[in-house]
Amino acid sequence: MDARGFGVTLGPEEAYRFARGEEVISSHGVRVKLSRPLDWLVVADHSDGMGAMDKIISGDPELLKDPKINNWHQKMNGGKESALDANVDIFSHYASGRLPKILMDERFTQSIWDDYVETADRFNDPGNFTAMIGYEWTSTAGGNNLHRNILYRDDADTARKMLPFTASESFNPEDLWQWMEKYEAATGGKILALAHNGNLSNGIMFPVETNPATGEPLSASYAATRAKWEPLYEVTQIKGDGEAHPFLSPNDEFADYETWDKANMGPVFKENSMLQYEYAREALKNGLKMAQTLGTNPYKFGMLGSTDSHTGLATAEEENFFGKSSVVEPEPGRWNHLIAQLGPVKMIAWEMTASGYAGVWATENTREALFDAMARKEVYATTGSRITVRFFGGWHYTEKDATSPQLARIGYDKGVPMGGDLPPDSSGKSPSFIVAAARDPFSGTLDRIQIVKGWLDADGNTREKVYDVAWSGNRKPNRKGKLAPVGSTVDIANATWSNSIGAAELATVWQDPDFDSNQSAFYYARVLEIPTPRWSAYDVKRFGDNIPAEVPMTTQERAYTSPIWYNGGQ
Amino acid sequence: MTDNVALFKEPLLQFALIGTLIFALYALVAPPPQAPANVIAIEAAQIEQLIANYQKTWRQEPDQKAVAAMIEDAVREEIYYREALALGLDRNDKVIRLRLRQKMEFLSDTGSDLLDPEEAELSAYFAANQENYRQPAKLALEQIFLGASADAAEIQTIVETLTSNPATDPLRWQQASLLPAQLPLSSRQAIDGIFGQGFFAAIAALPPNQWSAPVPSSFGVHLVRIREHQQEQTPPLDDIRALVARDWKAQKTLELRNQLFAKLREQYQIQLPAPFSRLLSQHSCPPAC
Repeated sequence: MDARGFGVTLGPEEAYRFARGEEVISSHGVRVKLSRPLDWLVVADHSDGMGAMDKIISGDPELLKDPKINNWHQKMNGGKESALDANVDIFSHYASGRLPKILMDERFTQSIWDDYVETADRFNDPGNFTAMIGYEWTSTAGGNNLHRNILYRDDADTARKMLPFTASESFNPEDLWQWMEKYEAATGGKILALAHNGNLSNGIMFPVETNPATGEPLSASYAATRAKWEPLYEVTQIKGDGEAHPFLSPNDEFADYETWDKANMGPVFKENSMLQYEYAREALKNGLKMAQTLGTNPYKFGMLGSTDSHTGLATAEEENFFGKSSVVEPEPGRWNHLIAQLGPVKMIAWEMTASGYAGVWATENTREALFDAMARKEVYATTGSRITVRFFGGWHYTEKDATSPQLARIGYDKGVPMGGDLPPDSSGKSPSFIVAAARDPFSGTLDRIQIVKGWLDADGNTREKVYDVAWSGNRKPNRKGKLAPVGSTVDIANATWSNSIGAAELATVWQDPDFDSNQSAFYYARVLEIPTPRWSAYDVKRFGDNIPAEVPMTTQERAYTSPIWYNGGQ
Repeated sequence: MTDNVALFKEPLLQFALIGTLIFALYALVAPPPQAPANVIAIEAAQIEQLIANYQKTWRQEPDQKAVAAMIEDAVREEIYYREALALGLDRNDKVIRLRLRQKMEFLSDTGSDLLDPEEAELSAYFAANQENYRQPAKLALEQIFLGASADAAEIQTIVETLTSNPATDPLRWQQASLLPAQLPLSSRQAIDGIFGQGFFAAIAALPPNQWSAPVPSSFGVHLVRIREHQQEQTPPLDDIRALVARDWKAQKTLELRNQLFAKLREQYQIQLPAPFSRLLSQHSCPPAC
């Protein structure tokens, strides 16, 4: 949901209206609307300073010494017509460079931050639509993406007490965490941070041995501080999917989803050795190991998705995708727009991923409830379709719990939801998990649910395994345990598909067949849809674009839940 | 995301970089320039502003090292800024142009902050824009999900049992599903968002408080009992005053922006090739459009 108002004609106001389901006019003049409203939105903008209007209106004594300003002040406060006059007058003075010098004095700047947080407050409608306050800290040292979004539980009165931390002050996340500490102590507010695009960090998003900022070994305090301030990670978005990478997970045939692995954001190519520090699954695994040496698992994060669009439009549906930035919008030939070039390597617009959204299991639609759910990691990511997914872990679930209409109640009563920790257990049993998913009625049906397990083996090495646990149709896993692909009904030429395959809902209780109570582990669910047309197919259909064969025309939308952790040997 | 990489492919930047290289080479072999050294005068007010920003960011006074670092950074920014302008890097840069446009609009919009509608004005605006405030019809419902492959005879039995004994607990037949068994008053958009397109239309005409015949959805077959049916309506102004005032203000802001822009535009003469010139005058879109 990072819609930085940079180079876009739509501001936060339009972004909120759009998210609420209203029609807005895009930066290129196209009428655009979501298929369904969003429940909440964070516009993650930047601070800046300008404008002196509020001081003129309120009558700052120092300013009023200037007769012209004094006159404007009178007019501003003398009713609408005269205020309008004054405004026109001030503006034309400004436009022609004749503004009294004192007004250009930077002491009289009004922070855009103030304006931004007030706009968020105006659109925040508890129970109906939540406009959560947030901003992006855009650390990009040498082109290595270390971006973080900072989200507030607070309203404008609290949030405005401190200006956001900017990347011009520091590129080091530890300084950001220090600022966050300060913010909470000074204002009594609550904030959290989540990073995105580790895939563009060239090996520094999830360091394991060395702190990239200092070159020193990672410290216990780094691990503890990171775990404290960054309970979440943005695992999927327009600049590629960051759950898993085929190089790291060669046995996972679904690991190569919308992968961006050519380079960082600057001019440095990717090397395979960097990948282990970039992808969520690997970080979750490394975190188990680091907990043993550093005392805290720094990468014990929940997972959600966002668009990171810079269009003011949070679009993630294939059929209604407005892209990354407002340079190109849906129009003939947009697939071929050059995003970046690095020697012979090009990033072309067709590589953009129409992704993603964040699902939050909150008790109500308010800033406080959403924030609290995020803080306890009861969240999941989708690549843009609105799949519903439940995931619970415990020691006492039975098979029939999956077929109960009260599935969620049983889930909470007998275990912990996604984002939680399995409590200690001495029964000697393996943990079991309730997992259930419902399709997005506007998108494809469901192919399968998988559980991804990562653990530390007896030698302290990280391991992973992907289990198919529920699937559509009568498919049987082969001898190697692999389930056949679900097939495809996509008619690429017409950008349509049929839901004649797949399941509307899937649910099961799964017990870990390879559990060892001495070994720390995490489990998360991955839900796959059947293939549906990718946004590139809609472009071909709508604009008659002639797209080369290398461009994928179908996609299997997916959801990733936050993990449930087990602390070995407890 | 910053578009650093994209910058490097800008022909202008490539050109500029080559130009800089030539300039640097020239500087090495040529005698020192006659012009006085460039001066960057940082005024006390600017430093106070840096310090104020620091305080607003950190809630504490910067130490001398921090102040020095901020000043050094301001100097760096200023030098890059000047050099970039001298190289013309601001021209033909869509991001910079849009940013400046945004600043101009921000400037013109700030004035509308002080506009507050008078009662008559707000009522008139509300009356003229009733369409925008019409709330869609809403339904509150209970539903029993019978699954994707429910048998017709079985459904018949369930309907009969429910009809003869409405107090029967519907959970008895509810199939496992993440779909909600009850929904509070919800619009077509919300209901179709949960059950799939066409579901609202299929149940909108059902009589209230009795179980329906089977209704198909994107998931399977449901029996539905409508609890409440709220017709499409426009709430009274008092109920949505803040919302209407906000929209009024948004419209005024736009009007003001367009008026101010019209003032600027008057000062320019636009030259276009003939056919387009005619096109523009035919379709010219004065401020308020």
